[in-house]
Amino acid sequence: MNKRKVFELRRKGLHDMEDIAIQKQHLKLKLTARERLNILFDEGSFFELNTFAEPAKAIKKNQNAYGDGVIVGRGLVQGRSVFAYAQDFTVMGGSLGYTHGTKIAKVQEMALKFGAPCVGLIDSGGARIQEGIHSLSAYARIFQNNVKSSGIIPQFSVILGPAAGGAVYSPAMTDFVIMTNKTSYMFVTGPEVVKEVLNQDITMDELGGGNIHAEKSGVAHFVFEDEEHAIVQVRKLLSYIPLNNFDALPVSTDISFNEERQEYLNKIVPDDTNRPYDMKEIIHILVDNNSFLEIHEKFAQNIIVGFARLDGKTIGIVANQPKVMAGTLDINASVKGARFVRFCDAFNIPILVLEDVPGFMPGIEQEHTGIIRNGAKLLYAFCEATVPRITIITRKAYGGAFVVMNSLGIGGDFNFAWPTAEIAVMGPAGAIKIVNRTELAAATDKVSLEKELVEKYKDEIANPFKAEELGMIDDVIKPSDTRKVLITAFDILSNKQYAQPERKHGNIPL
Amino acid sequence: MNKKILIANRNEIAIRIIRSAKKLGLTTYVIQCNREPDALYLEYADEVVQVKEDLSDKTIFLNPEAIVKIAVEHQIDMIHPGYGFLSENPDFAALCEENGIIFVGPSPQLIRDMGLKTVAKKMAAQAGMPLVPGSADAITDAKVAKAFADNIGYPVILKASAGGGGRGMRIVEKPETMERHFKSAYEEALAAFGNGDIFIEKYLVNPKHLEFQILGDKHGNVIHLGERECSLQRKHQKIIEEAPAASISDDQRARMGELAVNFAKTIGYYSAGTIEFILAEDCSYYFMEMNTRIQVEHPVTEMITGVDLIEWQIRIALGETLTLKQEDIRFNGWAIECRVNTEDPQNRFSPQTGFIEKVSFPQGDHIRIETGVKNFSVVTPYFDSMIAKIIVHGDDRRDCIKKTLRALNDFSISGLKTTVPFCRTVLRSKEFVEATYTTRWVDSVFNTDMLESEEDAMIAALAATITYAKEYFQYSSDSPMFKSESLNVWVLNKRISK
Amino acid sequence: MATQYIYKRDATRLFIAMRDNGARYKIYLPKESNPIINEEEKDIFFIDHKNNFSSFSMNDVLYRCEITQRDQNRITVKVNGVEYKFSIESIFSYLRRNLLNKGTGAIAANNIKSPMPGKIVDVFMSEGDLVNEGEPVLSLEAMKMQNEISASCNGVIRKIHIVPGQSVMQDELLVEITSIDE
Repeated sequence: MNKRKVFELRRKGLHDMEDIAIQKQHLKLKLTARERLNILFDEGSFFELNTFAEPAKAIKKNQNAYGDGVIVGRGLVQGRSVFAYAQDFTVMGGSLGYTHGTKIAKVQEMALKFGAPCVGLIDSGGARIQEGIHSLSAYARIFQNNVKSSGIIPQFSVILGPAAGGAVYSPAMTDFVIMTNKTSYMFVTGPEVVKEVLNQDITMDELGGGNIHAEKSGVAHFVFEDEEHAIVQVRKLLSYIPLNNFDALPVSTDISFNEERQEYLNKIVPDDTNRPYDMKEIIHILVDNNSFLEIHEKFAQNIIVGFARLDGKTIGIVANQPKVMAGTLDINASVKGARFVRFCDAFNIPILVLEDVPGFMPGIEQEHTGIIRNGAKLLYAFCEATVPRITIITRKAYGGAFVVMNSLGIGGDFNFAWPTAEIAVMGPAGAIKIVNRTELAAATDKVSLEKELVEKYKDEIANPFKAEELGMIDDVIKPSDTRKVLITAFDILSNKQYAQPERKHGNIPL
Repeated sequence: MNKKILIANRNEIAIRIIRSAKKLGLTTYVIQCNREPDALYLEYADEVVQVKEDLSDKTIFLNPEAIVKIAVEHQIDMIHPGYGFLSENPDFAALCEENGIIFVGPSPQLIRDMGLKTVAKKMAAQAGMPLVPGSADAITDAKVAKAFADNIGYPVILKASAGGGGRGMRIVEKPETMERHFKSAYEEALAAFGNGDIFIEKYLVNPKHLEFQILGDKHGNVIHLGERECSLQRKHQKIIEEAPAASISDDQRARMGELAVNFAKTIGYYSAGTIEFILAEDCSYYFMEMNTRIQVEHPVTEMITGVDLIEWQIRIALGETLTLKQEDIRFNGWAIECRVNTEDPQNRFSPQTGFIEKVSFPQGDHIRIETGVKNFSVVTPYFDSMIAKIIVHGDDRRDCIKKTLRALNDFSISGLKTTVPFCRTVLRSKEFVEATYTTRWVDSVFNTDMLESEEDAMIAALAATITYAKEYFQYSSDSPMFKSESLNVWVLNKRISK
Repeated sequence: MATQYIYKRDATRLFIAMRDNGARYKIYLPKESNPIINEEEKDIFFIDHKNNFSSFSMNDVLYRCEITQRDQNRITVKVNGVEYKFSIESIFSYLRRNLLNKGTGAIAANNIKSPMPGKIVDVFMSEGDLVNEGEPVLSLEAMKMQNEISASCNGVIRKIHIVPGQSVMQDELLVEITSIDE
């Protein structure tokens, strides 16, 4: 055997494989695994591992299957070390065999060991049936690694093709799931099974397309029309977050903000307490220009979560959206908020809460689906978080929802309120009906008495000054000063220390 | 004159009235309401009366009792209602008088009469005003209807007397289809309103909208200050007005003016008022209605006549004699008014609300700006969308169009979309330049592509690309736009404790 | 690496702005000179940029642009009170998508190979630059003669494999150009 010749042949084989891949993938409006890695990483920085690993069982003798349908390795993202694996659909449908799975597990373990993020570019038909139990054991190892790494290194899954059956659970356990519309799918059981078992006709797109997961199920954090934008999103996300839970946050050198527009904050909250306004507008004004990166944009829109930069430094934002369902907290919103708070806490990202919440969502459907258990997740997440936490109350802060949204009592470091804030156990209309029940029953002109009582309630109880006097909030601030106040406050909190007794882990009400 | 005037209005017209009132030495009062606590007009008045209103109720400006109560409390001598709101509410005018407050406008009875179209038309006919030919009484028989239509000539419009919102309306273009249309209109009206009465009127295909400005005092003197053309409308709301009108001759102007003055004299009208005409393609004209208030578009008349209409309105209300004679009124040059509404002309004029980060108006000797907003103002959804008027004077019509276009180009606003691009498109259109535009221009000629310009689109493409490229370079470039700070105490502490 | 890949995250300076009405603008943003829009160099001066506003002047007319909406690569710009909506792509993602939509494979490459053995004297372009057909890209000295070698298509310089002073063999790949002709 001429070793030099073999070396050359293998190189050529790899070359041919890529040519075939290009032809196959491009026909499906998709990129090849290598092309995707080139988008993800800085040019020429990709260092591939186990390039020529062979499948445990060759399926087609006449076709090269170097790498067993997955390319793994480490590259740089804007100079920072990141591990990745990219499944290659053109090799045995990207199916996960033993070698394939072992390669992924290996790169996951390296990422954990070296404290670098791990990115999966997923395009796979699922477990390789021919390899049977071997394939499943590989999956198991991947899942185990996902959980081991969770909270230590950020994990990303970019779904760029099908992900079906057990394969969906690895992305589901990572921190961010990014999908493309029309070319990617995620489901536990596909349309054929649905048809067979339930006799329901549904297309792949309707069952588990990018838009469905971004809007309805909340599985996907982002959805893009184009693969390039989907992959570049990982680069964008990485510019906000640290490489591991010990790493310092990246600080932007490009700081600018809209000074003129700060004035608008004084006027943005309508006097009519039932009129909606757009909380996103407030966020955009407060943070550095164009720095707000919204997560779960289309899912549970009554709460807004995302990263932003304040004076160049990353913060996580959790905000009620009065524009959608009046900002009420329902099951989806609580879960969405809780997950984000826990991510921020795990990676030391300070949290800013913008609060305008009338309460938890009432209703049979919500109660029966478990608003108690799910609302508790958000409460638990906030209580548990040890990162710097600041709340700005823009308008309503009523009842339990006030407590949940990062109040001082549950460990919030600072609570500020705008003069428009209404802080109380419940809204005026409901409160007077209970407190002044006897007076109201006796009154002849109920309507005007009600109006009078509402005014009195607002003046005497539901205002921020009362809460300030009682020390329930730290300060009532001028809205146009909010940015300044926040920068100082986060600076004060930057060396926050905490102590808590040892434990294995808490028991979040899942 | 140490009198107090309360302006029961807001926005630019409040500021406009304050200007004239101060000229006359009056002390000006305005009302500050919850819906607009930082409005610009509040800064101009001598005194601001604060009211606390329930936001679920209608605004104070529509509440006669509340306004009169304020006036009485502050010993107000006179109330100017501006336009809109209570300006043509006879009960409000009467309530003012009952409380010994002068209402700046005509008598309550005339406001009431002119507010009822049928009464107004009857009074106009008695004064010799031409009316659109039509049936005086309801018709229920198709044969009678056809005979009537044959007589006044086609096209005609059939209107259900009980109708509204287009129900039971038919436009009939030729005699052959008359009976058929009448029957269907009759049946539709009967089914919809339980009343099949139909009126027939001549239908004007492409009408123009003209109006004459009248000034009359309480001593029987009445003059007219020429006409304005307000044909350019969208959703029946005027948007560009000019004075004089290009489509009538001096002779016709004199004739129509005389008719208007005669009508006002006959009914005993005093204060400023407007008589509206509809002008057919053959230049025949018909009385439409009379507005018993100062109009939004009054500045164009002021620009060409040099008369301060609001000043005269107040002086007349105080009982002064109108010293201006008809022969004193000279028309000098041309004036165009463009209304700046916060509406999106690219999206069916849907209203826009929000924050005005920066607004800058054109400036110049021949330009007059009437506005109720400035930088950092907020446009609320509670009131109408007009935030300003740009009025431009020129030597003649061509000059005026040119200057107006230049003025519109100098207008800029950030944060909200306005009707300014629409006005620009109108002023550039062939129909406006040739003065052949009618009230149907927006429906028949206008489309949103006309708002665009090739240069603007190209610059926009460049701006969009630069914006995208900035981020593209940032995230796709291999060199980071950020620095990783050295470890802070917090992280160190965490490390030690592990 | 084993293969020359079609897709690269090149720092291209050529973009395509597509309007919602179908109009397309091919916009090249050179580092230091005026932008080239649809192959034409425009006398547009970038005056100011602040927050969402930028102003330009062209033929002594001032244009103020406001970015009113941004969603991924979809950007809305307001100029003179009128909004224009665009979706922006880099030339590569644009071409790729176009070709992918057509279902054909590779993007046409018109690479420059060395016509003869010699020595590189000068390279006139840098990576990411836009070249027109017939425009000289580099000069090559061979047999004591300097030859200017030109691009054979309109395109973008993808990669330059040589530096001045380097000796090259016949048929050696010198410069990769991606055609932008359709």
